[in-house]
Amino acid sequence: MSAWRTVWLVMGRDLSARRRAALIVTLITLTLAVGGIVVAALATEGSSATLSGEEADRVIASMAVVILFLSLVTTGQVIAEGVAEEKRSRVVEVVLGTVAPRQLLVGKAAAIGLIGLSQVLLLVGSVAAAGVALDAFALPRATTGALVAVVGWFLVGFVFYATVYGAAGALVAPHENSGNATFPVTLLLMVGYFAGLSAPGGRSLLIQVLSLLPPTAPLTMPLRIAFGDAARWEIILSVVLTLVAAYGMIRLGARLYAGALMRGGRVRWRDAWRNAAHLG
Amino acid sequence: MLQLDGLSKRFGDVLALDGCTFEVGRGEMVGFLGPNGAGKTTAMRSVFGLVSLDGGSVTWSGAPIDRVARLRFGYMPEERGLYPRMRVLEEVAYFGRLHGMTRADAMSTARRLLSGLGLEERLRDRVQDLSHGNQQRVQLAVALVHEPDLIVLDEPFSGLDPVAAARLAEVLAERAHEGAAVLFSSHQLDVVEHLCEDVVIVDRGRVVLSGRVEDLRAASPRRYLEAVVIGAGAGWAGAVPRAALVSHRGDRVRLRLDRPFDLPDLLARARAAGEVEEFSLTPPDLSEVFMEAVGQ
Repeated sequence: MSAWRTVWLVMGRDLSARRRAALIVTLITLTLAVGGIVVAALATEGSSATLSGEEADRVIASMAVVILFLSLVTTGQVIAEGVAEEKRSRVVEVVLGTVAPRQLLVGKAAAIGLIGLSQVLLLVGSVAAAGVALDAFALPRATTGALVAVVGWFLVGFVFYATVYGAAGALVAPHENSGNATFPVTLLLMVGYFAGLSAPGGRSLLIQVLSLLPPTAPLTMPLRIAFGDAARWEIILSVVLTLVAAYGMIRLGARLYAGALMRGGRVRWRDAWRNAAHLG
Repeated sequence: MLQLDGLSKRFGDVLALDGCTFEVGRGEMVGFLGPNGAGKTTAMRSVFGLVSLDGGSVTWSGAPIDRVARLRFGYMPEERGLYPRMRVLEEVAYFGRLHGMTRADAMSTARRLLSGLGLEERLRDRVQDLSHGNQQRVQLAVALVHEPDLIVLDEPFSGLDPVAAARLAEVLAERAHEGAAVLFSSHQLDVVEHLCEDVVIVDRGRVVLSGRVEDLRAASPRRYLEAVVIGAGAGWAGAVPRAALVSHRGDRVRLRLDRPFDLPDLLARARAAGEVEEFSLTPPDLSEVFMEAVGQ
């Protein structure tokens, strides 16, 4: 049996276990999006004012950062909680009897990433639909690019953060909230988030630097794209850098995950690293 | 054949395995015994690569064990674990598929196995809604669904009622008869004695005794005398040289004898005390062999 079939099976189980939760979140998202559009439509009714280009950029940019931050953090948390659950219910020992830790982690992350991606597509689709419906944004400008960037950067950011969130979940002691263990990872995302939101017009040296660094690029580069401020080479460079770093993060996350999974009690990051020395 | 050769593992100050060596052949059912903390669980985990050994090797059919080999292994860990929200049939079939079965095959085998374990009414229930004993049956089904060549069960009998335990014993005997190698740990020595031809006894990470139960019993230097002398109580047995009173109840006494023992003298003492209704010399039973082996 190939390793990919195992990953596929793990993924299928995780998807099926979350189908109800995913449906509920989808319905909530849709309701909020439609509600938002209706409210916005009512608020702008009668006034002929569409947003100026600069204002539209700002709205789109903030939305992009907020959507990316929320979706990366929530999918990360769901992965961590899924991992912690398997450890808590102790089913993980049975599973690891036949499944490699890496396969289990990748399968789970892929399933949850897929759900996260569909949520992001839904949100982005709603924003785009609202924009078209209300004719509020100057669509031909950077908007389309910004929306595509949100989806793309969600994927890149997800690849970067997913396995480390998984590893954080594996550190959790029984009866412990997985939020404690994931905090350091979430903190990394928050740096990009606050930097992105507080950047006036997205044009500062800090943002320029952060948008090239892998941990903060997924939240700050889309911001610059929304402002139409990022040169093509910068975008390509930051994607490449983040993906290269993501490869390292996946290796790191998988190793920490394997090292922590079979340990009882709260595991420290350092011990997880050492425990996995034999697993390679 | 499963071979554990010179396994060693240290957890901090604790030496969990210290040159642990034994084997389990195809078609054999081996009881794995030892006091708490003797290293049984660590040894069993090592078969599934769940422990990083400090030394020694675990092989199956002479080759190191990899993921492909483990597809043909079944495992029930000491700390039971299942996906609590999955439905019983789906859960068992899922593990069957993880071991390489097709979906259809896994579903039908799981259904058959669960029915045989008395769970045919519960196939659509969530695992978390089952009683502890029934969850244990599901756990067993998870270990057996893919008809493994090697079955490793850590304390499979603990928590089972006598009916379920008897059913489990039957299932394991069947699998061994069909050629599987079966290794299970247990503290219920009467069950082991009844079920296994072979046992391995470990203490402090080392195998202190292994072999056929009958041989181990016969090889013991000690013998036990079971006697009933009507109306005599246990008083007559008190002053016998090279003998120790193990237990007594009413007129029934059990004496442990060290060689060389003088049976005619014993019988004469019994007769002098009253009418002898029962007087039989037996080798130690498995729990006595166990106590001797672990030095208690």
